[in-house]
Amino acid sequence: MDFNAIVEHLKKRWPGIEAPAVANGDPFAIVPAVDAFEVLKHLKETPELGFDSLMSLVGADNGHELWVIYPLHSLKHLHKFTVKVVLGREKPQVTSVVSLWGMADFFEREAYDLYGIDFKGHPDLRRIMNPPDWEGWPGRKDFEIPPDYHGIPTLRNDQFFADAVETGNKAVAEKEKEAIAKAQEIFKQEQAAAKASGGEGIQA
Amino acid sequence: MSDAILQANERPRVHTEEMVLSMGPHHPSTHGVLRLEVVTDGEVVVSARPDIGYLHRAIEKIGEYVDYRQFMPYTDRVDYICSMNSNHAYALGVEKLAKISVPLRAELMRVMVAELNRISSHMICIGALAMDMGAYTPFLHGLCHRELVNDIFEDVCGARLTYNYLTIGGVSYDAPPGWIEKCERFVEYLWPKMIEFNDLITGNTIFQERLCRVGVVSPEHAVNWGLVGPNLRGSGVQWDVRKNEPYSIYDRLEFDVPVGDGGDPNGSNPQGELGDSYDRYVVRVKEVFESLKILKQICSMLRENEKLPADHPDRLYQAKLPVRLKVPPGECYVRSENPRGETGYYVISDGTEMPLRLKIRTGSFSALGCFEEVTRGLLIGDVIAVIGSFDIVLPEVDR
Repeated sequence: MDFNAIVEHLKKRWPGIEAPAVANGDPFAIVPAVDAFEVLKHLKETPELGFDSLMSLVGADNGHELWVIYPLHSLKHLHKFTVKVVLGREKPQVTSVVSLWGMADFFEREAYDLYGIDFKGHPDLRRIMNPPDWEGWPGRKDFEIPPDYHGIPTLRNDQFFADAVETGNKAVAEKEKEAIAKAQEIFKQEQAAAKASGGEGIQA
Repeated sequence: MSDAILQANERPRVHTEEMVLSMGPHHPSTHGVLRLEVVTDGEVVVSARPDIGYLHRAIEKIGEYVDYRQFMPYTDRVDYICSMNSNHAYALGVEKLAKISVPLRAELMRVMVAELNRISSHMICIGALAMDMGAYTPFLHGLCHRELVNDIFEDVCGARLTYNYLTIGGVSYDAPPGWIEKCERFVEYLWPKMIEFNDLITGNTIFQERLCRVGVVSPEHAVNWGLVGPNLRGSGVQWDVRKNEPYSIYDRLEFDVPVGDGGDPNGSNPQGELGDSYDRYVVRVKEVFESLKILKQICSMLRENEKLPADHPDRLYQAKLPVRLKVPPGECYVRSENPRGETGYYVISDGTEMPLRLKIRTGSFSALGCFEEVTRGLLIGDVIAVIGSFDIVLPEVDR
């Protein structure tokens, strides 16, 4: 089936589906978040659609809203379809499709990690790329890079880094001073000991 | 005697419990910085959960801050074992969205370097798998052949690992004089060497015993878990992007798509089971021969191409493009067949010089996704076999 036929087929049951005209690239259908799981399940399990393969799962941010994009492919019928779900920036939530395609497991974790999209019903929704205690959603356009992570600076030309170098240099200089003073002290003591024993002392 | 047995049975039983074993991230058999949280019951694996992210460089995010051409060197680092193929996948994505047509000579050069890189990548995979299984020599054979491919790449672009050779709309340099002859000599050299490699390890009984019936993935599960490339074909699914959705000039080339045939008494893996580790290994060995066939054809096509007059449009190695490349708004998903399976670029453009979003779908990432399911109930040594046969490359997983 071609793209328009699939959209017509889906619109009979879910009239809320939109298929915006695209001048460039692949066409896609925008599906409301509440219907997303049922639509995807229908796409997979209806024999004449038979989308057995989820090619990728994309989380994205265009600056205003978040997207979850499911490019689908059928190995049986050799047709393609792209479903896009549009979510708000506050509490973005969509039902997980791990029960349909096992592949979605890691891809949904990645979208959660980078964009903070909550996949309802995911068996193990944890951060995957970033450390578990990372704060914020780094994929989003409005993400601000924190100055440091556990004392490790994140930017090379940052003031934090410059300060760290300066304090490091200071510490080294102080240590050197201490070492020189100590050596001088030992030298004086040895000279005094040599004089006391009647010798001429060590030549400086 | 019977009293002793009775007493032994009356003794309190030895307390046993499951043990958590942290394998990696610096374990030599994990092929990079992969950490596995293995829960073991004696020698049996209860669950092996991959812990990834040690190599996360936010390449996708960097893509949103550099323009389309500047991103090309980053694709080298997505999968450095096969940089040429990574370049190709990205170039295809941008060219589809920007509607750029590539001259014939550039396409020939692209397929040439892509297939050479596929051979050198498979050399690493099959060599390292044999090394993981305790045979050290095949790895050295593999690296020895790979060096020759690196020499060929050095001649054409100057680099030996991260090539940055393909550009949007073509390739960076034309073939230098004598390069095609060098490639032909390589094909003639490698064919008998691969037969020697096969004699050395593929039929080895110990090697087969280690891989047969280990880490079995059924065809339905392979599709559902999103396995791609040799891992998918090892499970008997006849799917190759080069054959089924031809891009570049693959539709003009003749080659076969080898699939796993475990359990078939007349096949290459009669003792095994369809979709086991040995099937995935054999598919890669066969693919090297198919790539050599493609290289032969491309060499003769390049020679034909050189007979054309120098100002013929098919002789160009780059399409003429504006310096500031703006891609019209739209989004598309483009995939190409890499050594580690389908690499897909989902490119979203908002009409500016920089992409709005680049999502890279890689074969190793989805292979690790089903790792826990595949390794459940195996022995610890077999987990290494599964990692090796999946051909996981960690920079591709973490991106």
